[in-house]
Amino acid sequence: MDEQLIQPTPSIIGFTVFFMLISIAIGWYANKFAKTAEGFFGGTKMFGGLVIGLASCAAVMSAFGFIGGPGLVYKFGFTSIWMTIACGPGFAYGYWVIGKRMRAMAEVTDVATLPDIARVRFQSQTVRGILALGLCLAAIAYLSSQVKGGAKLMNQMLGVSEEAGVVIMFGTTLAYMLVSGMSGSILTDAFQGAVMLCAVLGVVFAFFSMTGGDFSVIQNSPNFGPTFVDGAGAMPFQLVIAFAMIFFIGVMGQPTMLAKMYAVKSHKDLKLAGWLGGVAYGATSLVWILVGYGAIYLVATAQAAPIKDLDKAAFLFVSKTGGVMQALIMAGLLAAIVSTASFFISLASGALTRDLAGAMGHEIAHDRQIIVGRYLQVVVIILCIGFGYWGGRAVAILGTLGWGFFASVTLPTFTMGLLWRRCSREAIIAALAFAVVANIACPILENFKIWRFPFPYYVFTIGGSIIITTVVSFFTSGAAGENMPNELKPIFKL
Amino acid sequence: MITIGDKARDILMFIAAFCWFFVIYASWAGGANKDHQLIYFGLLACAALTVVYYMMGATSNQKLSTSVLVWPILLNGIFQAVAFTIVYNTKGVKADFILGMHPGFFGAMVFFWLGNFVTSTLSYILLFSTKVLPEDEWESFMKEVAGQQKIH
Repeated sequence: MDEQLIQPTPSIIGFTVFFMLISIAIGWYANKFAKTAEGFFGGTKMFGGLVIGLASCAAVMSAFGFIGGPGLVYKFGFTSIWMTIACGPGFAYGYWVIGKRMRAMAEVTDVATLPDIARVRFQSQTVRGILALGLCLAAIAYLSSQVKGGAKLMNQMLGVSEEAGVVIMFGTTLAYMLVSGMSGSILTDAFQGAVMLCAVLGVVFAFFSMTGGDFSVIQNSPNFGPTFVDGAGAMPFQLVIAFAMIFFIGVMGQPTMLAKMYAVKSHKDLKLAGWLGGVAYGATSLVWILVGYGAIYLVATAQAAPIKDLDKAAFLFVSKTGGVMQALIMAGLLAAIVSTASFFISLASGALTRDLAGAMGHEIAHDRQIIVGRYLQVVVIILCIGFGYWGGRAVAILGTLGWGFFASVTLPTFTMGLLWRRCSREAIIAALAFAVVANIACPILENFKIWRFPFPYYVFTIGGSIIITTVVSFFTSGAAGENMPNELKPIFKL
Repeated sequence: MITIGDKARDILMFIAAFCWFFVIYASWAGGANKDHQLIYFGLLACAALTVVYYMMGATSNQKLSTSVLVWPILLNGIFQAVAFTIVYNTKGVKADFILGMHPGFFGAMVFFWLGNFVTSTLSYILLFSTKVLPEDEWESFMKEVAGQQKIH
């Protein structure tokens, strides 16, 4: 068991149990939206802007933002903050760029999953299959890398062993995901988003009570200095490119965002969903920033000893708050993990059930998809836990698949595909093949110390897939321009 | 009104691809040689890239309003460029604080974070029913698709 920075008080345990019971109750209630495959796998055209806005924020802000982010701030200063300050305003930017077109796709075809849209736009089972395979692989890899983080959190919150923590956390999530699928994920995410916003209030109050907002102590500290308070931080400067751009433009390439664009009930709901998601995410960014700087402040003023395990920075800060505040912030951390996990469980099971099988010519009957999807949710969770605990080096390699991988497959397919009539089937197949291979090859080469870029490899894979799509589209014409089905042409007038 | 037809989109997509190429080059060569000026130019290319996608997304029936081009689109690129310039020029420098923040921190938070919110989120709220998705535009789309079978 890890060092216990947080003592599991009755209020923390009470908040945790209350949070889990409410999540299960909401998830079961959401069953009424999950009677069809479209409702179970997509929540398509089901929810208002308020729910979608809060759910988008909760699903995009993961455990990494609440635990990993503050750790990076503690170690490197501002550099990693570029990710989170880019992402918040990137929500509305994404809705400006493709929101209405994604929602419009739900009017011209039956949408339950993202590969459904890709198949219709490019009239290709190959596109559907590669995209489904990529999304499924990345979702499982990403979830696996979160297993230990979740276990550590439950260990700190409840004082239970990590193994018991995993069972409690994923058992609770599965308890409602089996009943209501993506609809349950969206509705519980909205509740969990609200919990995260309450935690933000706690963090802001705690930070200013603790530090008085005085950063000069950090600038003058021999352990830290100016690089910890400037706008570039202590990581290599080129990382600002990766973080600022990939997380501003790339947010519209995240399945957690894209899938919400067709889940809004009416086109009018796009307005509230677009701005609320971004503003709520912007508020939760304060956890990343203030908790990280709070931990630095505590060490710089010798109120705490320096820490080696970066994931402990968040717990160090929380340990200096008291009573209910501690319980509130910890509930926010739990909400961040569970909300993202539920989305990816649904994404992976949907891709396997509906798209991968269909792309290989074995379309599962519409009325059986929900049952198969439930079985596959269990399989996905078992795979993630097993892989997370016993995957060894493979987890370290594939755990890096996440934001960059998703952006490299979805920016060409959806952003370019829905903005540019000339974007062709052949181009997307080439780009997807490149993205899947490169996103797996690059971390393997890095992990075995054979080759590494002097910048995060996903800048190369995202840029590469977009360049390939552009170049190949100029020389091919499958499902592009006049070869596009007439039913899709009205979308390009929006 | 500016027309963003198919030809214009071809050009914009080509510009976007070039910007991506330059961003990769700047990260690669700039990172390997610790050439911060090249990395700074890469950051400016990122701001240009933001503008290019914004232009394509903010069109309505192939038309882009001139006022939308100025605010939010170009202003978004300008705010980003200003933020990157301040951060580049104050990196690692011990300096007097502005409103309790290091100048680089101030530039990133005010021009990038707040500036991007003003140019993407606030504009989205204020312009939704007139420029993002006017009601008559959606109605005419729905009329057009109402007469057709759903595509599978």
